[in-house]
Amino acid sequence: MTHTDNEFEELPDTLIEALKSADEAVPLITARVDREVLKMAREQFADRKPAWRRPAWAAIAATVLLAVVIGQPQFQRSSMPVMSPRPPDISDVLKLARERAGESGAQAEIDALAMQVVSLAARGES
Amino acid sequence: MKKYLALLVLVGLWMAGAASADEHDVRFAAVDIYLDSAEPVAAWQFELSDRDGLMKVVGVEQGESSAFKHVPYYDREAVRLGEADRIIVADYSLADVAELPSGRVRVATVHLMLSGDDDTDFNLFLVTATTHDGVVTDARLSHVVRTGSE
Repeated sequence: MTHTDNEFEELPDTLIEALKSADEAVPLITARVDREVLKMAREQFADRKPAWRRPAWAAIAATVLLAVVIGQPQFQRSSMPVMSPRPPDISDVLKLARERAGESGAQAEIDALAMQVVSLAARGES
Repeated sequence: MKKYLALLVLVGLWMAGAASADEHDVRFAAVDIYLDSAEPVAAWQFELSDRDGLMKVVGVEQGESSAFKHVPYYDREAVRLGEADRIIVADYSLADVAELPSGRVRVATVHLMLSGDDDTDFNLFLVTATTHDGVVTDARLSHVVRTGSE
């Protein structure tokens, strides 16, 4: 009785059987089998376009969604006009007043922009 | 002692005369600003200054159009501090087109304190005038100066 046999005798039969089956020889994959598998895989995916040629549906959908979200009124409302090369003038105040007409608290923002328009300090002189 | 007393009196008389001369150099005027536009105007903005830096703005009064009900916007703080040697005045109206002014209309009156003897050389500049739709309209500015005696 070897040392190994003693250990097996102390283990449950199911575990012994499982360990014995694990010791069996690994199925040999020959080069020919490997080539056949590779060939079948290539045939399977032959119709598939390269990743760079596939339509980026996810990216397109994300872009459309972003455009829709940005187009929502709450994203367009701002106390300040869209940045432009010129300083704001009273026409920007008029535009803001039309956009925000009737909204609570809007008058304060309109007045603030108007005061910026007429501020002497804001234009670098006083 | 008498010499010092006489010198003191002379200095006092000179200072009184100088102060009197300064008072004569300062005068007040009201400048009526007129906007002339063929189309009804919903917003306007102008800047008034003088080329010699002799004016101080002491107040701004609203014009004659009922579409612009309140005193227009201007830098009240600079005026209050006596630092407004020029002024930017602007206003807008959300009134219906039919109520907006067209033609020649007084949009504001600027009250000034002027120094110097010469006639003030005003520089009046129209920043913008727009219609109800926010389109810039071809308008012209003019002004009439009224002194305190008028």
